[in-house]
Amino acid sequence: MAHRRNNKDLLVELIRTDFKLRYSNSLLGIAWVVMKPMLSFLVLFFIFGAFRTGFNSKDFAPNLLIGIIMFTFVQEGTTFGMTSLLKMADIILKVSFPRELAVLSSVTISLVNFFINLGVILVITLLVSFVPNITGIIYFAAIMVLLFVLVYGSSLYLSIILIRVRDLENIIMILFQLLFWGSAIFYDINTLTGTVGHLVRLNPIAILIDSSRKALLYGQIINFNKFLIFWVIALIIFLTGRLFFNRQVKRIAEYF
Amino acid sequence: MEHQIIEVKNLTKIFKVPHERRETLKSYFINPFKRVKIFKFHALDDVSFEIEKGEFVGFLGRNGSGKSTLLKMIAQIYAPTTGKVHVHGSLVPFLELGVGFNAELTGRENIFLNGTILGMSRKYLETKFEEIVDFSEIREFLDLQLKNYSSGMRIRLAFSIAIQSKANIFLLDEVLAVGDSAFQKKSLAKMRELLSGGATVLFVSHSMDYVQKYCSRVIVLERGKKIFDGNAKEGIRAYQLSLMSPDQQRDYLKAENQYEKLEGSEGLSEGGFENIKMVAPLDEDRGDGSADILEVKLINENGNETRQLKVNEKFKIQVKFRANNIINKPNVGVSLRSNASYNLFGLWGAKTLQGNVIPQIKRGDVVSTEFESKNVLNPGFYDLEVQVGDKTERTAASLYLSYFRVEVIGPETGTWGLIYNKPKFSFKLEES
Repeated sequence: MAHRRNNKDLLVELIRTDFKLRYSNSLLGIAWVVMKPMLSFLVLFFIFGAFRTGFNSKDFAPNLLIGIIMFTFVQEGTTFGMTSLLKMADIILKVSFPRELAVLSSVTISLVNFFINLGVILVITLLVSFVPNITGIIYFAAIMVLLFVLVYGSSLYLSIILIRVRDLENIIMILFQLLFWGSAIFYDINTLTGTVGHLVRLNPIAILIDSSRKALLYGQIINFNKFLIFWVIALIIFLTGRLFFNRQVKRIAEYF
Repeated sequence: MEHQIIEVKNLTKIFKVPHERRETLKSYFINPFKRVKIFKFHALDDVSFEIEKGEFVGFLGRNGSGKSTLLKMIAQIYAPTTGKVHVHGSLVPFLELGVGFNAELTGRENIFLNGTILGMSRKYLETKFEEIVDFSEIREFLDLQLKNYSSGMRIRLAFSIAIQSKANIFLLDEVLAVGDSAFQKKSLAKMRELLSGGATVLFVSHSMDYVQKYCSRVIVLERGKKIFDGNAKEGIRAYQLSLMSPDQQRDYLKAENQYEKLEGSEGLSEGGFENIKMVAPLDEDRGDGSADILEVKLINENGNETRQLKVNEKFKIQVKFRANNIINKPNVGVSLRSNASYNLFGLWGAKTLQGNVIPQIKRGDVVSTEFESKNVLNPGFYDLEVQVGDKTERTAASLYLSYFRVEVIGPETGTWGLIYNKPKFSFKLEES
């Protein structure tokens, strides 16, 4: 009898397990998914609400929220994806199953977290009486798919490299701290001036966050050309990442 | 359809072990051109074999001989350095039971997690759920977190899930010796069922009993090289020899020679002889050398030396030993063991039988002792074990162990079991 692996079910099971475990022993449980970005939202809201950030005060909250949850997705997804192989080392050394699923499930978990947070945001934006429009939502969805492909593709590289070079975890952590300030999360990308402004306006994450805000809150489609270019880059990273991953993953087993 | 289900050709695996491992960037920066000394460890060295469908192959070898590396390469977890592994068939992709179990999840949840990791679909697991639960006998604990399970329960659950896999090649690393004896029996029966259904089993174990009982073939590895490939009995011998120091090997071969002579002269059947190897003295405490056993004799009813006894026959065991040191209250113990190494009977003479005690012997003294008894064993083969010790009777104080094969021959007693006992028996019609 043919023995066909059921990869879809394994993926679902891995995500389900990870989700259960992440919050099973905590008092607030799944509420932490929402709490984490909301708490950083409150901090940023009160601190930067006092500064001029380029948003009018009424829009500041939803703009900030979108920025935070998108950035959280990228950061969490990359970190989870990067450490996924190492975390599952004991299973990987004893069972052969498609290794990509370890990475994919980790990145997907951060996507699930993102959707939970998005739900909360929608409630808030609706309360502040925005009416999202349909083309805006589609554009936003396309941006999220793009980010997912980008994060997943990079994770395929990072998860392998991390096994040989353990410093990577710290490097990525510092990189994301830098990116946090440079991704136009709590300010409008267009208000920055000088060299820093130019640099931030080259940051794909900043550009995509900016585009998402405009699309979701005002129904505007901006940066469409850059969006297409990013797609090409993301696909290249993803496809070469898969090749790299599948070539290396067997050789890497002995370095765990 | 190919017969060879697994082909391993000139398989070599080299682990490069740097003397100082470069795992941080710093080490690259500080001296990027410094050549790190690399020690090449041949985990497997040019190993080739083919396995046919339906074989139950045991892999033997010391720790670090490459057994697990080999299974991992067959399971596609490690890539070969050179050589090839071909697997024509579906492999149940586990080497150890319960991989992927999570202690924080309940038994129920773990069935699905472990099952899907092994490649089964959730739907399939749902249809097999009852069967898994029944087989593992953990129904009342299903919703308990796995961390509260005993190790026996865990392994029972793991085994019950693994056997539901529809694969036809099973890789088992030390897994049959699990659970209580009832579960062991059940799981072995299940393995047999899978085998008769066309499954192939690759089996790593340190239990010679299991290997001899179940393996149709044994491959022995030593330092990454295949040193034996053939039937189980000879494989176990090759393995046991590989465990010994050169000195021990010499002793062993000498003893084996003696037994072979014995086999020729007194017509011991093959099955009886083979088991001697399983109880070869290598695992036993061989004593501290403060005495040598010079002679062990079995004397039958007629006063002749023999290795065969009849059921119910009177016999004597005579043990002669020489002291190499001062021994206080020397003592001699004898025991009879079954094939399975169970002690059927054993005692220390001076203590139990309260014979005359010699207070002390010194270097060079020779002592002869005698036990007299009646044979209560049914026909079969038994091992006589002799120990010399001192008053403390601890095995640690034993000086030498020697195994001595005794055959009990007929007459057929009409009873079964190891012990011969004919009770009186009567019928009485109570009501009619």
